[in-house]
This record gives sequence, C-alpha cells and structure tokens, in this order.
Amino acid sequence: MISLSHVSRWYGQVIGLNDVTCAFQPGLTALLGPNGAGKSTMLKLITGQLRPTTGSLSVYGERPFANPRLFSRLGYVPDTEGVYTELTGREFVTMLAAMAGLAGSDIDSRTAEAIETVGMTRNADRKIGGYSKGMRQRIKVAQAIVHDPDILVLDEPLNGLDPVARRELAALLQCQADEGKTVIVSSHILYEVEQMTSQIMLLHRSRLLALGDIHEIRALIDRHPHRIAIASPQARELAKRLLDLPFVLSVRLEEASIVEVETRTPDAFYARFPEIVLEGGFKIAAFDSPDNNLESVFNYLIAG
Amino acid sequence: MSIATLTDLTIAYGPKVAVSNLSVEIPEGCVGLLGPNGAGKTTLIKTLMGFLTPASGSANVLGMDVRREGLRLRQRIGLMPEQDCHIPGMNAVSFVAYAGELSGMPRSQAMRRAHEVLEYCGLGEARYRNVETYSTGMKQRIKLAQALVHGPKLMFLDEPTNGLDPAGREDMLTLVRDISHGKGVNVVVSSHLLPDVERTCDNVIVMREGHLAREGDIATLKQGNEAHVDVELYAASDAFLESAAKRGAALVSRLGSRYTLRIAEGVDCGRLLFESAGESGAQVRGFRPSLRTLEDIFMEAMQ
Amino acid sequence: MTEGPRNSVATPISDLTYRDYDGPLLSRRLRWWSVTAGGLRTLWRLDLRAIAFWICAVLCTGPYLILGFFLWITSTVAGGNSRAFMGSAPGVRFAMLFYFALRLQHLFLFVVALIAGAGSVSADNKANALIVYLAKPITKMDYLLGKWANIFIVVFGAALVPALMLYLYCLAGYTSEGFLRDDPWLILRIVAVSAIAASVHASLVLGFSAWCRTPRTASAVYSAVYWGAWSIAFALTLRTPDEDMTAAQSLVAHLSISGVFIGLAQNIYRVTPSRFLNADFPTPPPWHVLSVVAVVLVLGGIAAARARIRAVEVIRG
Repeated sequence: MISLSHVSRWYGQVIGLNDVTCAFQPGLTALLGPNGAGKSTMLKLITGQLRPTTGSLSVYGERPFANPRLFSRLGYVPDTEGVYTELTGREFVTMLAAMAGLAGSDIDSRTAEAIETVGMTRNADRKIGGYSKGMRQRIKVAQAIVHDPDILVLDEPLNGLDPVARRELAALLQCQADEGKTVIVSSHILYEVEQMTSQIMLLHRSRLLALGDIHEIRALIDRHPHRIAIASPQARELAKRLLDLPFVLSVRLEEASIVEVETRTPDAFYARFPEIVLEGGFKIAAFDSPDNNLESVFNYLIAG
Repeated sequence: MSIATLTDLTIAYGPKVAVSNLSVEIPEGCVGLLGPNGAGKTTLIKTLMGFLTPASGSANVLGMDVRREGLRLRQRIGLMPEQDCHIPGMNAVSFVAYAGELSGMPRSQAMRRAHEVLEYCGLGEARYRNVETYSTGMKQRIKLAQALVHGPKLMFLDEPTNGLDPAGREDMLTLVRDISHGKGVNVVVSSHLLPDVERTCDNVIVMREGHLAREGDIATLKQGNEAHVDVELYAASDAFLESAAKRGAALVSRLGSRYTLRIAEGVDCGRLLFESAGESGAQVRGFRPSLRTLEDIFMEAMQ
Repeated sequence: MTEGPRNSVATPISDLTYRDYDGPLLSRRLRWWSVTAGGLRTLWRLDLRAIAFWICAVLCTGPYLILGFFLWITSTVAGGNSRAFMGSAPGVRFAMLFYFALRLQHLFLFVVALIAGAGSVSADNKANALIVYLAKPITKMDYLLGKWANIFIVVFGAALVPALMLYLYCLAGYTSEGFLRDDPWLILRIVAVSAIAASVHASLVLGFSAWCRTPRTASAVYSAVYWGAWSIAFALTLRTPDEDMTAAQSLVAHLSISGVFIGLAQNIYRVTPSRFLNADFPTPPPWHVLSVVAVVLVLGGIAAARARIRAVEVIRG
C-alpha cells in the first residue's frame, strides 16, 4: 500500500510537508486541511511528481518518483484546469489510456467504458475547450479510471460539479473503495466528504494533525466536551434531572424548550439518558449532537 | 416586492436555446439560483445584467428593461464572476478603485471607497500586493469587493465559495448573509453547494434545462412529512428495527446507521425509540423530525 | 458625501460596516477616459515594462538630439552660416531636419508602440479581465476607444516631445536666421505628423493585440508585419537610387507601415528630393494614395479589434 516515513518536502524556504509518517489503507480516505496545509504536496509525492527532501515514501514497496511501472497502477485527478483544449474528450482519454500502458486493442473499449461511467458519452466528441467546468472535471476522472488503477488520487474532484454530478461521483468513488482499491480524496467540501467516508487524514501547517476514524477522533478531543441538544416541552424539569448526573458538566437552557448538555463521556450519557426519559415520562421532540459532524471536528482540531 | 420580473423570457445562442419561456419573479433579499450545469443559470445572469439580448420575452430588473437600458442597469448591479479575473499588473486597491472608476466614480472617491470596501471584505495589509500573488480566498474577496465598490442595489454572486477552505467559506458566507440582510442590497447567489445556499438565502429558484423547475421560499419548501423521523444509532442494528416495527414504526430508508422511520401520529417518538433501543440493545445517538434539506428539494426538482 | 445619522451625537459609536455609495458620478461620455488613465498609470510604476518604456522614450529623443547637435556644429564651425549645412529649397531648410529625424526615429517609436499596446487587449484576455469590464456600465466602444487613446497618447508623446525640444532649440537660436519666417506653420506640421504616426500605430497594435492571445504573440506578429513590409518595400526598390525614383516607384518604396507615415511626413514637411548627410531623400510619394492607405489602416485596426471583443464565452452543454 502507500506508506510514508518521516517525509519532509520543502521548496526553497517554503515548507510543504514536515516530518509526516503515515500509511494509507485500502478504502476511501479523505485528506483534509486548510489551504496551504500541504495536501497538494502530499498528493504530488504519492503520485511521483515530487521527491521527498528527506524521509522515504513507498507505494507497493517501490518509490513512486519517476517510476513508470508504478504509474499504471495509479490514477490521478489533479485540481488544475490545465487540460488540452484542442483535443476532444475521447481523444484525451484515449491518449492517457495509451500512456498508462493499456494494450492497443483494449483502449477503445475501455475508453468508452470510462467515459460512460462518468456520464460524458454525449459530449465525448467535442473539444475540451468548449466544456464547462463540471464537464472538464468529469473527463479528468475518466482518464484516471480508464486503466482500472489500484490507487486513485483525486485533488478537489467535487469542485464545480452540480449536486447531481457530485452524488454520482461520490457513489463511483465509494464503489471503487468497496472493490478494495485505495482511494484518496482531497476536498474542502466537508459535508460531502462526511457522507463518503469516516476515515480522515488531517494536515495542518505541513504537519499531520490527525489520522483515523472521525468518531474516534471526536471522542478524543478532550478540550471540547460533547454538546448534546435536547428539545422538549418540559425542558426545565429535564434540565434539573440531568444536572443530577455526575458526568454532566453543564446544562444550559438555550431557548424555552431546548436543553444543551455538556459531557466528557458521551457513551455514559447516551446509556443513561433513555432510562431517565422513560422513568420520568419526559416527552422528547428531538435530540442530537450539533458538534458530532466533520466540520466541528475540523474546526476544533485546527483552531485548537 | 420583487426586484426582477421575467416574462416568457427566451435566450438563445444561435441555434441552441439556453433559456426558454421563463416566467418568474425574483423577490427581494437573498435568492439562491440553483440548477445543474447547463441549466442556463449563467446565461440568465448575463441577460439580466443587460449584455445578452434575449430572443423573445421581456425582463424587468430594478424597474429597467434589460433590452434597452442595459447601461443604466449595470450602474446599479454588481457581478462577482465565477472564473478568476483580474486586471493585469494591479494590486487590490488599484484594481477595486479602477472598477469604481469604470462605474463612473471620480478617482478620489473611487480610491476612498476601494479601501472601505476592501476593509469590509476582510483584506487587510494584503491589499497592497499584486493580485497575481493572491490565494484563492483573497481572490474571491477581491471579486466581491470590485462588485460592491459602486454601491449596487443588486448583486449576482456566481459560486462565491468556490475553492475556499472551510474557514474561508465561513467568512464568505457571513459576508454574503450580512450584505443581504439589513444593508439594502439584494443578492442572487448561484451555487452548487446547497448547504451554503441554505445558510445565506431565503428564497430559491431552481432551473433545469432552461426551464423553471421549482421556486419559493426555503422555509416553506423544507416542510417535510411530519410523520417521518430521522434516527441515528451508534451502530446499525436490525434488532432495533424489529423492536420498532413491533411498536408500529415502519422503515422508510436507511443509510449506514441512520434510519428514517414513519411513526403514527400522536405516538410519543422518544418513548417508542428508547423502548425499542432498550429492548434490542442498540444505543440511540439522536433523532429528530425529518427535515427536508435543500438537497432533497433539488433532487426532487430534477426528477 | 453626506454623513449619515450614524455619526451624530445621539449614537457615538459609528457603524463601520458596509454602506451604500451615493456620491458623485462622472458623465458617461467620459467613461473611456477611465480606461485610458488606467493604462497610462501602468507606465508610471517601477516594473520591467515601465522601465523599458522610459528607456525607449529616451532613445526616441536621440535622433532629434543628434540633428540639433549637427545644426549647432555647422553653424558654429561654418562661421554662423547654416545655409551651407542645408542648401536646399527655401522654406524647407528646417523642416528637413524633422523629416530626417522621423526616419531615424521610427524604429524606437515602433518599440514604444509595442510596449504601450501589445498587451492592451491580449493581457486582458489572458487575465479574463473582460468580464470585469463588461459587467460595468461601459460599452464596447468605450473600452476600445479608451485602449486606443492609451496607445495613441503614449506614441504621440514619444514622437512629439523630442520634436518640440528641437523646435524650441531652433526657435531660441535660429529665429535670426529666418526660422519662423521660412515656415510659420512648422509647429502644426510637426503635430500632424506625430498624430498620424501615433494613430497608425495605435490602431494596428490594438488590432493585433485583440487577435492574439498573449502580449508576446501580439508583439511578435506586429513586428513581423511591420518589418516584413519594410523589407519587401526596400527590396523592391533596391536597384533604383533614391533621387532617380519616379513618383510611382517612390510609392512602392513607401508601401509599408513605416513608409505610410514617413511618406505622409515628407509630403507634409514638403521635403524635395535631395541629399542630406549622406542620405538620399526620394521623390515624395503621392499623398492622396498614402492618405487612403493610412485611413484604411486606422479604421481597419479598430474594426478588427472590435470584432474580437466578445461579451460572452459560449459554453455548450
């Protein structure tokens, strides 16, 4: 698979990645981080466009830099707009399929398949120069999957796609991940990423800040106790009752009918809460944890 | 009160019809313009700004006819384009001041106003650097500033959060919300990121293949089916579903450990869910009445 | 600007967030000047392009300085009698200097035009600036006129200022020798010649800039056309010595971009065939033909540029 060991990369004085050690497992991993955190650097290192300044990086046991043998197992969707505007979509994918080492006889059928998968069959024979942003994005994905690579690396693939196309692409990526491929998606659109996967890697200021499952990470962020908001017509009584629990840090009445509870041990809370409700006969209209999503986790980790 | 009225508007590029027979009223405040790629949103915006002539029909924006009063119209409208754009070789201040001058402001006023608007958009010291060295977030802010400099009454924002990281997105959405509520500026946001639209806009217009697919105010459109409940468990559990079914809850859909159940009216959801959970050993982590998101509304409009 | 009630004593804390603009607005007819001024300002900076421009502008003064120097030398050396230096038809003695200077100067003038104008539309296209322009209350013609005026003013200045310097020098030192008496309209001729050269350059550079995608390509193409035409015209009339040319041959020799305004200059300055400082002044080519060519070039350049300013990029699908 992909593993990095104390990898650093800098450009002159500007640091791209600083001493990163990690490994990517098969499945869908989301690569997150603010702009300038080093995500593009990481992706370029993995796809063999850059060499690490120090440390070592191996993909399937080999170094990816300038390693054509490995490229046939890699598919890369860059975030740049630069595509050949004079070629048609089909020609573009065909050219890249050939470069990836597909046998001549296979190329046409595989190209057609890839184009079909991304939904560009209708427009495949028009020049890329006339494509909209979303269409260019899709044709880039087509060239990345045409040779059925084991590793798919996508840099901001959802950018510019309308909601329908985004769902389709997300489904495609999940499908690939389910087949055992290693899919790495770098994206800023957190609510989309959240629906695709729970494995995240968070980079911040060139360093690896977090790696793992979202929920596990959330559980470990001690500094920010879990918040749970409960809507109930008997808010005040419920609040009083909850305050008796030893693991409840604070109870706040948000509005007339919403209680907000803070706790460091959400498991204990979720285990005890149903009993309290059933015993006390409280009517609960709704309850959820507003900061149990990726965006909150991201903010907590970045802002410290 | 509406800021624009479109009647039977048809816009074509030669043989291709981008928008056909569109009749809609764009209300005041913040409006989201949604639609898949190719639905005609950008074409519509350019027509409403007066630099594309419609093939037939009429459009009246801010009381002016787009066919005849294009120039006057653009005096009161600002556009934040989707693509990267800048005037070569200028820094933020000169660029925004220049944009002001192009709108007819005298140089001294344009300079003063440029600083004011750049301050509002959150560009501090960076405004003295060349625009070509800017990050995506800064470029987006400049595009917003150049659209605001001449004090427009209506702004078109085309993908304002494109390429921004979560922090930048937060800032931009706050700006958009601030500008469109209480400052007397009407805003039309065209975006693919539906949660962003949900956050900033009060109304939506959904387009599809050049036609109007849906329109209305978001709060009304979002009212979902009151009998549905979204439940999130710690881990997916079929035993839970069985227990719930015994108590009269039917499964509508599921995604991982999230279920949508239909519960009969008058039944206490909390009680039902906690009892089912207790019986089956599952742990309920949250539940709430099903709210349709803008995404659901959009997907339905695409059917 | 009226201060709103927010700053009155009743509310001591000012609201510094966004506010509307309700200040003065300039007339729409002057909108093109904003484009011109914006372009002119780019030459008042400390970057490579501006520095290159100022160097070339200084080089443009070179020919006039050299001729002024020779004028001074011969009048001092020849004992104050500058007639020996020029020896030509009356009324043209001093005009000849300006004509010759233009012939020497046109290379640098060309470079000035390139620097001022090669990027005028092409750089805008590259940076996608047109969408900013077109979203403002400004018409295509305002934009074009503004860009044209930008190049015109720069080239006009580069041609006129050195000529004025020489004119003032002559006025100061040679009035006693009949400088003003010989040709009282000389100053107007100088202005006219500079304006014609500037117009031709402005239109052509604008046209090429609009049709090419980058400033570099525009420069390359215009250079090729300008010098290519000059070379062809030169080669065609190589075998005939200048002073023996007929009017028709002279016309062919002047059928290049530089030839057009140099030929018109010769007509305006009324310079006759003669020899001057080892250079031969040919028969002046017919001015009516050259005028038509000049007008065609000027209008053609503008029309070509206009055709390429597209309001909308068409994205299908």
